[in-house]
Amino acid sequence: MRFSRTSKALGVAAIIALAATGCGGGGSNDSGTSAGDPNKVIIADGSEPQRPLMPADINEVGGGKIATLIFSGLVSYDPSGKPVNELAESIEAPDAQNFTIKIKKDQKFTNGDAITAKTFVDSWNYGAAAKNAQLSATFFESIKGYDEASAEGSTVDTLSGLKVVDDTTFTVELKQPESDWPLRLGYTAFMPVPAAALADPKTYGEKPVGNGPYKMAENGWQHNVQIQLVPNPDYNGPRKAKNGGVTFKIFQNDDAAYQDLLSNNLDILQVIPTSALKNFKSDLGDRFIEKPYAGNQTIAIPEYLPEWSGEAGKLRRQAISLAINREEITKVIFSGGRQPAKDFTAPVLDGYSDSIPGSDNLNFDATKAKDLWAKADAIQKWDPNTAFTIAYNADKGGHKAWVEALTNQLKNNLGIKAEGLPFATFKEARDLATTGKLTGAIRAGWQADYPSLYNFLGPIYKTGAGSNDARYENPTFDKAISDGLSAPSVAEGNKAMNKAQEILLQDLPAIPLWYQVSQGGWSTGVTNVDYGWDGVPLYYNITGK
Amino acid sequence: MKGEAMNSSVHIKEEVAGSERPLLEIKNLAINFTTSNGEVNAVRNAHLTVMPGETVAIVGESGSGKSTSALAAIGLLPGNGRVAAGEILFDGEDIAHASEKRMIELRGNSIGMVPQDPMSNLNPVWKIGFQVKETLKANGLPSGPEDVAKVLSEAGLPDASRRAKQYPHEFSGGMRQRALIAIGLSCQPRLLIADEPTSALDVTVQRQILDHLDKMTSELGTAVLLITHDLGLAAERADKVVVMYKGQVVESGPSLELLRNPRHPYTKRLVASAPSLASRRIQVAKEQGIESEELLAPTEPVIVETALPEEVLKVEDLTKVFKLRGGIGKSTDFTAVDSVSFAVKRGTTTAIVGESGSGKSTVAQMVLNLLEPTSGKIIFDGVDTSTLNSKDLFKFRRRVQPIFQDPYGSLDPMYNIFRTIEEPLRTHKIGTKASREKKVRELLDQVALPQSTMRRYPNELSGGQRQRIAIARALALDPEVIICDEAVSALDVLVQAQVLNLLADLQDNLGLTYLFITHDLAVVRQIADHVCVMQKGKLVETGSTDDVFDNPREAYTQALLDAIPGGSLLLPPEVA
Amino acid sequence: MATYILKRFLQLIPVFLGATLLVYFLVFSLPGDPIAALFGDKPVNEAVAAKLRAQYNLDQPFIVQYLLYLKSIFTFDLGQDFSGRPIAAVLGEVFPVTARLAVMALIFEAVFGIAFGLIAGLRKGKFFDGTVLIASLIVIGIPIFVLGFILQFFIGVQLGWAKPTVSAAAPVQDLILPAIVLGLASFAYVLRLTRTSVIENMNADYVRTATAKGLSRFRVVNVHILRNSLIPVVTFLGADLGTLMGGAIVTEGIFNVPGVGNRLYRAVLSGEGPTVVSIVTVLVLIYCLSNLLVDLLYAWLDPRIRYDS
Repeated sequence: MRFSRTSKALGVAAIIALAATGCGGGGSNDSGTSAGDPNKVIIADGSEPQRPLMPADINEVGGGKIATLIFSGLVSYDPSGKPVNELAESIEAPDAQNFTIKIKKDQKFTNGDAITAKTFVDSWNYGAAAKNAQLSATFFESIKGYDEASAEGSTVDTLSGLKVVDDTTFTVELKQPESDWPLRLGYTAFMPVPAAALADPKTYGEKPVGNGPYKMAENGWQHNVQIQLVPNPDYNGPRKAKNGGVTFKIFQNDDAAYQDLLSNNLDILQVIPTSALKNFKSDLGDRFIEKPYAGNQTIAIPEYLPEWSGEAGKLRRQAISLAINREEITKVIFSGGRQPAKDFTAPVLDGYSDSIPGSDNLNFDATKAKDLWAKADAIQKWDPNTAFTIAYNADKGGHKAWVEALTNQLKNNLGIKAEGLPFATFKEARDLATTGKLTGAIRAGWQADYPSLYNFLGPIYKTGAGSNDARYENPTFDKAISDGLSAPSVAEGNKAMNKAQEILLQDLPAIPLWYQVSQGGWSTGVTNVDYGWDGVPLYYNITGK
Repeated sequence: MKGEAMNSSVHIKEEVAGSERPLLEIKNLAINFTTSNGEVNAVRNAHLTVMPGETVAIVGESGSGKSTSALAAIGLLPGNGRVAAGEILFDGEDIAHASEKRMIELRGNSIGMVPQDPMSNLNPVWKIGFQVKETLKANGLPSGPEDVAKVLSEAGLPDASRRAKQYPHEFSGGMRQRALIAIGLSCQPRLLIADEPTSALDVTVQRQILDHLDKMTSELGTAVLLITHDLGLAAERADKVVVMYKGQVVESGPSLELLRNPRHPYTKRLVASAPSLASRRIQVAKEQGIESEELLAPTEPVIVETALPEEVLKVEDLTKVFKLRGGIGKSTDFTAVDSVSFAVKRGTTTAIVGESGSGKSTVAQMVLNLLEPTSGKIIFDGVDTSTLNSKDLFKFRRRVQPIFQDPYGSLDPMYNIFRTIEEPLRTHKIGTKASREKKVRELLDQVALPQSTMRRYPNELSGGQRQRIAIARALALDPEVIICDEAVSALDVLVQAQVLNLLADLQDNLGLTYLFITHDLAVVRQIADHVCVMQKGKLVETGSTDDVFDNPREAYTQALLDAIPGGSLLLPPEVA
Repeated sequence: MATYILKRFLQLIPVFLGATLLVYFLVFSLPGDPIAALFGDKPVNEAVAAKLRAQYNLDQPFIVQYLLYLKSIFTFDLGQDFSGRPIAAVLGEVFPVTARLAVMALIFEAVFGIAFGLIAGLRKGKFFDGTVLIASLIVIGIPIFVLGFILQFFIGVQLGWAKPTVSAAAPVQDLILPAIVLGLASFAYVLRLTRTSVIENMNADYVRTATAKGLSRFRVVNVHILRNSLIPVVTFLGADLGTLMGGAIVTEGIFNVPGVGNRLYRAVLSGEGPTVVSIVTVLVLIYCLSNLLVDLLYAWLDPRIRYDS
């Protein structure tokens, strides 16, 4: 039977195929050509910022990446984590408690508003006050007056420790001496915003006005789709934009982003997804980077669990730590993309040491582990039917693989029951930790807010600290930490911090596993890609090829 | 019936008409079907001639090849059929292997077709007018709304332009058939193939339609090839009759002569068995004063003991009203059975006759207690059935059994024959396993089927054999009354005759009483003692068969009698 | 017919209320504190957390939250998601994109499914039919995410015929490949459904009559066979529209389409009650409406069906 509908159908198919061919391909530029191009707009991957873009309200990477590019504070950090002055002229304190801060003259926001000392004080007051409900308010906790302003239901909206002296000078009085306080000033929470933004955070959260190397393009924030940044011509700081702008394309799924990278539809992918770890090096040739950054992964074991407290608990923690073969996991699961931990902080930090006394508790020694476990058992019996669990969230981050590998190692090396305990969402797992209802270990870890050793120790292991999942309470440690804080110089402070770490290495409230390593890649269209101390690419330096 | 006897001789009598060339000439036609069991010779050796303007009828039973031969002429054999040998000459041109293009040209304006089943042959989603219009358009004729209306009204559809905008399901069966005739004749073809054009219709409507078809074809000078299983109808409406049996033409000739002097044994049997002819013969015999006893199927009345009531079944003012749902909350009443009263004497056959929609089947269902009457009484053996409790009702069912119309639908295809017949015995917990098996064997003997049938399944049996199984099943419980609801309507003429004979024999031997529901008056004449005529739910006439047939009181009854095909034939009153 | 349509619309109200209540309850009973999760690994600032909880009514009992939500619907203010954006704006962004994707998938599966199914049915048992049947089995058998990745990799990355992910504005040309992936499984169903329907109708009496009338083969196939065969197919397509709208999560993830699926998934993970309920309610309404549309279409296609009297 002849049937002309066949040819009709084939014709339609052909047209569609042709249309698909016509569009698509390597169109990754919104503007400009690609040869050695300072005007190229870099397409980068991003995630939808969780909160409106008010600096003191941002506490996650999605918003943080944008904020560091459109705002500029007193200092910023160079690639190795050292503070570099941006708006600050000088930051001085004779006693590490009373700071006098002088800012540069004639600085302006992109809307023309002047940046004065008052701007800073107002912005910081806004960030700290409870009535403004800014998520990063705790960053101001060292400043005198914070407790009054941040108490629940408080109507106080100024910090008594902040005083404006003149247009370019203000003073800060801390509750106690803290030698590393100046190191914090590059963090997003401390960046200034125009007065208009403080009055109308809703509008300015959507269309922020800042003073950084970039500014947001007109209608640049298309929610869940992309954020477009264009260079700020008025910016004169150390991080001047060397390209024509950055467009952050928001991906819901890392694998889709990787495919885009391979077809050069995406210029830089910050994190290679787990599924591509085995082959990204061969896929990308020399267009990848593998560099450690200031972050680590640990497992926290609560001290309030009876088997894990007291002397027996201590012995068991050491046993667990010695039973983990960190080398094996980082090689097999991460293809070398992690570095086994030697302390509680991170290697890119100033003052880091890999040979703190007690760090051999982080080596792999199965015999010693079994030994210690047996000793613990002698003091208090470990019920052989109880399983040692490690809680983790299954929705992001690909933790399943290493948790399972780790529990297998414990099973083999200690002869105990061990298994992962997955939670469907991140918030479920965190809920247990924050309410103190953990029944086993939980995966934990830290990413530095600012490059300092203290940042890895105080907020986690100090008694009553906000991120103290293990509910560790050791007054000796607390004292060691505050001694370090009140040290006269950063270098002295670092030495004291490491001394405090010796205590931690014995008590092991959390067991450090490895340091994070950034693994990223870029397309054939760009060059000059490098990452900072925090694992975030230095977008302002990337240029077209 | 032995196959060899059928093939012994083939009598063909052709009329040699002057110098005219035959419009359609089929010579030595053989048609094969490719099935999963190999090639099947559906038509082996067909001969046939149709002169211009002549009406020729092909008569045969199902499987005889009559439809297949005719469909071959219009090139509409099903996908797996092909013309294996022979010629089909249309106006001198051999179209047996013509190209599809040529056939499309011929169809519609040279050769038209009126198919059998009016419901399934019209596309339900297109309006009638559309379906007529596309025929006109495809054959190059003007196809405006007036042309469509003209075609429809010529076929006898009143209010044609309004009707053209309606859908097939809004038409009655008769109207649909008229529409099909309209379509078939719309392009004024020279040859019209009418495939059982009226067998799906009521008998009165049948007559109107055939009359109209005659009128149209004689006006247009169209030759008609009429396919039918009813010999009486064929003889009445056609100039020439061709008889086919098992794929071969066994006899053909002018219709009247064929009926009076059938030569082939098969033709003789057909002539003897056709109910319409038999009925006509009885009528003629009566007119000539000859007793009709021998002509009827034997029905000796059984000697009844006086202790038992003579009327085994009595129906008083039986009424059934159905509620048809209308819009939201509205409903209209439809009275299917309206105050019907009659009585059935033990050992006799009472027929309820009516057209579709008369309510006769509804009455049967109420008698069987399958449907609850709205009002009225059913008295069985002196007891009002509505007063029976469930235990007594169960016992009642043993004494009244049904045989339904569709031999394909009333037997469960998953049960083998043994189980089907045994089931009533098991349900009523009669006897042991061994005694039940014995009973099944007896029943199979009684219905003249080999005992080996027990192990077979319904799909292996023919329609007639299945209906015998249904009869055996009905007899299993030794009932007193059997309700036959159109029990022979779906059977071929010869098989029908056999089954009717069987029923008559059983009545003789077992003293059964039959309530026979049918639309076919001709059958009634042969087997019933009493007749009740129903029209639109009401009982219009009742009486003994002789009375009703000889002296109908109601006009409707008369109309029914007149509609029996073959009624105008002049037949001798002898039994062949 | 008008009363029928009115009745169906009235039936939507209890469906809407029931669905929203059920979904709200389910999201509410998910474990974990969404506000605490906002702080990530960092310490929870209790004052801030308390303020946020009050802002999203999370400190109220379940039934109060639900009633407040209902109130907000009737004032057309659907509330805000956790990043402070009005949910109505969020819906306005994601639904058009997913709608585009779903409609394109529907067109693809309808046009190609019917065309191929028709040819396969007409040529039953021959080469085309056999090939198409096996191919459709394979397509139905392979999970959509596998198909999606394979096509994305080969067509997007290796051959470069289409972009592997969808660009910001999700224009129609970018959505072609995702629409094909989304519609593939349904395309196979439509194909088989059409094929079966055509085979059944091919042997119908009225088809034979139509041929007997002298109509060309083309006309017989299109006007008589195809038209009647479309009835079950159209009902499937109508129901499929609702399914496609809600079920595009996997495809949207693979191709990075900024549509409903992704937004819903994130909202569920972070426990954003109002967002989840709003999105799901709209999906439920769409599904009900597409079913109504299918029923009306069915009555239009088959004149034997009448909904009143």
